[in-house]
Amino acid sequence: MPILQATIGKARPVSPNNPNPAVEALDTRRINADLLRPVFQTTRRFWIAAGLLGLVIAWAVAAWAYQIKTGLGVTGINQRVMWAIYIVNFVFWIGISHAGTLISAILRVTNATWRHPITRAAEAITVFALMIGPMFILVDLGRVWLFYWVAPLPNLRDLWPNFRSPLLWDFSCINAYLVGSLTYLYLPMIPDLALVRDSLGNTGWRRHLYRLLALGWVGSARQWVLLEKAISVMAIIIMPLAVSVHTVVSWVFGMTVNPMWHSTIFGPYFVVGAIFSGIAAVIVALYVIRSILKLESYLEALHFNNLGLLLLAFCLLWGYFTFAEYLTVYYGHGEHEMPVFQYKVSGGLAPLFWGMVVGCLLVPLPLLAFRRTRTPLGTTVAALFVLAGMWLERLTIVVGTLSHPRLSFMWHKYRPSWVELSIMAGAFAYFIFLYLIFSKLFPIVAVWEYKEGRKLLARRAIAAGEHPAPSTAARATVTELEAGG
Amino acid sequence: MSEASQVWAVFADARAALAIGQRWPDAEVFSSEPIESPHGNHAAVRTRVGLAAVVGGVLGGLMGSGLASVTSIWMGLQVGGLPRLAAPAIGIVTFAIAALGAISGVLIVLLVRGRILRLKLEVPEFARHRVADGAVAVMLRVRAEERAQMARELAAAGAEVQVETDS
Repeated sequence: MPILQATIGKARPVSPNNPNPAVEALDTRRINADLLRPVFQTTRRFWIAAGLLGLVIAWAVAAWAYQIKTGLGVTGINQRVMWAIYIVNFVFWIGISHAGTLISAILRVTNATWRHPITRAAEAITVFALMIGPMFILVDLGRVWLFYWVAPLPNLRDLWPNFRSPLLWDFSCINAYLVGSLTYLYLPMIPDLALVRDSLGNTGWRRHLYRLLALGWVGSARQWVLLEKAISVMAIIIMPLAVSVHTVVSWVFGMTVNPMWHSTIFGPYFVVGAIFSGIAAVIVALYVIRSILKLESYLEALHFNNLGLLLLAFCLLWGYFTFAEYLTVYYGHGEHEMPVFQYKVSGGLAPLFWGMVVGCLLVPLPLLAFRRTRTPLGTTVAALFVLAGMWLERLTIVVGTLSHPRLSFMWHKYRPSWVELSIMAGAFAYFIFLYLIFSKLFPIVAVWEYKEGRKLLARRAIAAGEHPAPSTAARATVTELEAGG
Repeated sequence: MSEASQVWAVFADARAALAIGQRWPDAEVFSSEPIESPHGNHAAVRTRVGLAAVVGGVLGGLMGSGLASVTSIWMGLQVGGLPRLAAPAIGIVTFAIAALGAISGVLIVLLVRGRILRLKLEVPEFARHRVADGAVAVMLRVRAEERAQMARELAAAGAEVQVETDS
């Protein structure tokens, strides 16, 4: 097919009244360069970090292999406390998974314009946390090779799936949430994957990777309309799904008639805790990304301030729920509830319980309440305390009840072994490793969403008269865009 | 009547590209950022994404409730507590699989109606590189005798323009 190629016309001259064409193009190039730099450049620090994390992961895998070979006796788990640190980590990571998708969906639905640079970093947390959390179920199983018995598959063992079991509800909801979160992460990535594809040269494995992942995205108006609509619909689907996941996780405990588990507020209490720890995880991740990738001009103090305010709101909510839960138990003074209550508040678990109160309430509250300390660093310190506090909260919930069942002769203590601690450390390392690889392969700040956010802000500034008005022709088009958008 | 040609133009200015698209009926605009269709606005476009989500959700819900109900009736376990066919338990599984159905519906519509599964990209490589740099590409389908007029209009738009035709 003959190709005719010709160049006609010249770039429109740039003037104060017509600031758009060349300036915007240059700006686009700068944003692309900044946000795609980590994808195109690999530093020595990356390899060192990946190597160190790999070592920790390898150690954890070895510990797990040892546990599989020797049996669960190498852990601190015993007949009474049969769910221990593994299930604590399962609940903790499922909680963290509420970070991205739910927060991103809420901010998207409420059209919060400051969300644009943070959504992808948050959504990635969800996916990786959801990959790691349920892994602890596998670790907790003595005979991991029989895992598929949990799946709702017909079998020949006369053991059909019991749909009345909250464990099966968990299986269904977590898998649905994982699929939804992966989709919700992937959809907004498609235009950026195409951007990387088209910014790369013709050779190399990376080009094939991005070509494959970007599918046939060309950025036509039709594709943009469909994508934005699909993301909006996904945001609506994902919110109840996220809430259901942690509610069902709480029902794994709440549906048993155990002291301090069988509580009507466990569902919302767990959801609030999950979002609380999720926001904290997002803040920490953003701070690390901002510092290491030098993205201070993209992940600004404003984002930390706003996320800090969200964290503050959930800090108060969590405090309220915790107070309500413990006060109700104390006033009821139930025969079986009080031993668990006392074990947590003034017994063997007291240091961990009060550590939780310090981490979740006493430290973050003053740090987040004042604008002066709600800086990127202050917010991150508060978030780190929250993460530690929320992990302790999961521990006191799981171990507190199991170590003090209704029959007092069954009371038992639990101490984690080196195997459990190694596997837990490996999980944290694995999470960071996955995040590191993700931010290496894909733009961790959504390029197109960031640009879209800037345009929205510019439009608002023009409408408010804070920005010099563009030329008449340009103003007419801005009006058209606003009417259409 | 002469056969129609596909003509490519790449603009540095999205507004100029949109203006060209509005004047020429058979035009498509490509951009690395969300952009209006030259012949309509986002709100007016019927994407059927919402409908697909609802249909997928209903189908998923039917599958979920069927899976849980049929299994519970035919192969129910005799355990205490809830009855063999327990509505709350079935409801939760139904909800999760309905959500999966809705997600699948959204994905299918996006991939099929957005023509995203095509391996051969609609935009030539020279244009895609420019689009990645922030330019906006316009594809015009014009008849051969209109090409001169089209070229004049593109020039009048004042943006830097590269033109390719496939005939």
